[in-house]
Amino acid sequence: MFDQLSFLLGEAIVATRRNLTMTFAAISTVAIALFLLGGMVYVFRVTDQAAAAVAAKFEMRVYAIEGTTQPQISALAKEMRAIPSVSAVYWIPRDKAWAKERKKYPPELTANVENPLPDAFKVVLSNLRKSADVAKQIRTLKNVDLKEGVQYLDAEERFVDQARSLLRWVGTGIGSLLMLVSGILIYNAIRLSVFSRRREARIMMLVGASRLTVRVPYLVEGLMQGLAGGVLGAAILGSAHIAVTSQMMALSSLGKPAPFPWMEAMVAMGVTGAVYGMVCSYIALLLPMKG
Amino acid sequence: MPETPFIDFRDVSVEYSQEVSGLQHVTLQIDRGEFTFFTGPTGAGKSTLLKVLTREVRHTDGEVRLDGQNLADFRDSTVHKLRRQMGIVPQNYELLPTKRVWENLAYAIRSVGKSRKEVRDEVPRILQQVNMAHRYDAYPHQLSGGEQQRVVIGRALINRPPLLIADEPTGNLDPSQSIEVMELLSGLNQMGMTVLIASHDMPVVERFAQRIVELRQGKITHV
Repeated sequence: MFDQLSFLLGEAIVATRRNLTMTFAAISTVAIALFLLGGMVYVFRVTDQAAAAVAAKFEMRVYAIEGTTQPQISALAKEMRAIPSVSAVYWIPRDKAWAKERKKYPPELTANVENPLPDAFKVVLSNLRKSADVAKQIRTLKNVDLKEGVQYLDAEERFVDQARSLLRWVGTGIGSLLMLVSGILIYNAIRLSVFSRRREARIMMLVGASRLTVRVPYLVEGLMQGLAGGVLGAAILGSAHIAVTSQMMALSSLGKPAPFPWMEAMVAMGVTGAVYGMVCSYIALLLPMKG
Repeated sequence: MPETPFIDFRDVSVEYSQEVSGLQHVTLQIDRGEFTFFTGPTGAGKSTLLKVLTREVRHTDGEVRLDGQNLADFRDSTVHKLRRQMGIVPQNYELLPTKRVWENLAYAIRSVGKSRKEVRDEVPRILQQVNMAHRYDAYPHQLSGGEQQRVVIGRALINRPPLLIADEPTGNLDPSQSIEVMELLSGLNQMGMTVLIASHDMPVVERFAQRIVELRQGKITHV
């Protein structure tokens, strides 16, 4: 078993060495495609996290009508927590809110000012897209001021949500396109490899080698090209991350960014490249190896 | 009860398309140990007939049996089991130019799943059998046409098959080399191997043939 595997692996390595130019072209193209794809996923993830953090800052204020008792406030909070898309509800008494607000100004400025703030709820949403629905449902609850009982930054929340959606679509679209392009390139590389080694394949078939034995070296070749391309792509992506973040830190007072996840990127892109390379090789083998 | 023929073609046709046919209603029996030549002009169907046996071409009608096995029962995934029962000498040498003589044989032996030890045992035996032991370290381009053909025949023997199929084995050789190669094939036949040869090299056919099957336009015209 091991003996046979070493033969097949050896064949794949010999073929790779023989078609060095084509192998280099395939690996570099896969690397670039996966760098762009991986970069897109990484940028998307970072941006999405940032957008999610911004989204978490958007909140809804809900004001109870004057004279609402403590049990009624508790009941109202419970009802709001039960609404879908509401992730948290906090009760902010007016005294606490005023004390917090006063800290923003010089003491002499607010010393004789009567607390203008009402008691309120802070409502955090899990899905910004549902803001309007949630607001509508809250307005129907008992003890909520019908006219100005619910306030939130509707337009801003919608903008952030749409920006996240757009990013997701663009990322998926470009990523899919790049995967397709890299797949076609691996397919072509393997087709050329099959063509350049058609004599070996024919000899194998004539002497009675099994279909698997004939195909395995090509599959291993595709796997190696994909793996090498993926790892190289991750290395380029990591280097690009370091270069970009160091420039950003030099130009702005932004905090230190999160380190590049080297191991995660290498494994994810390497495995993606390897599996994809093997699948594309398999597809490339279907036509020329028939018979 | 009569013995079942080793190779049995029953009303076999090969249609490449509606207009082009390779074989038309061929019926033929070949017994074990025969030395048979298939002759005829180019396009007569000699190679097609041999390729039906090696399953490089599928027959579209009729039935073909080898040693009692119906060839239609072999699927693409199991056709290698059929090919291990025969040695195939293709029309062109098909030697690997970057490998030495012994490496060409070793490559074929390893391709059928045999170990390095089996390579060490088998390669010298085969080289002796085809009289090429003295050129084991040469590259194909350093060999004459006849020597290359002997290596190809040696490669066809790696599975110790009972049947050898050769398509125009003397096609690219001069008369003396042709005789050399045919003597080798004849020797294998005398050791009990069934040998089928497609050839239009009539001097060779007349000198060595025990049985001649003549084809024209995909039909057998003389047996």
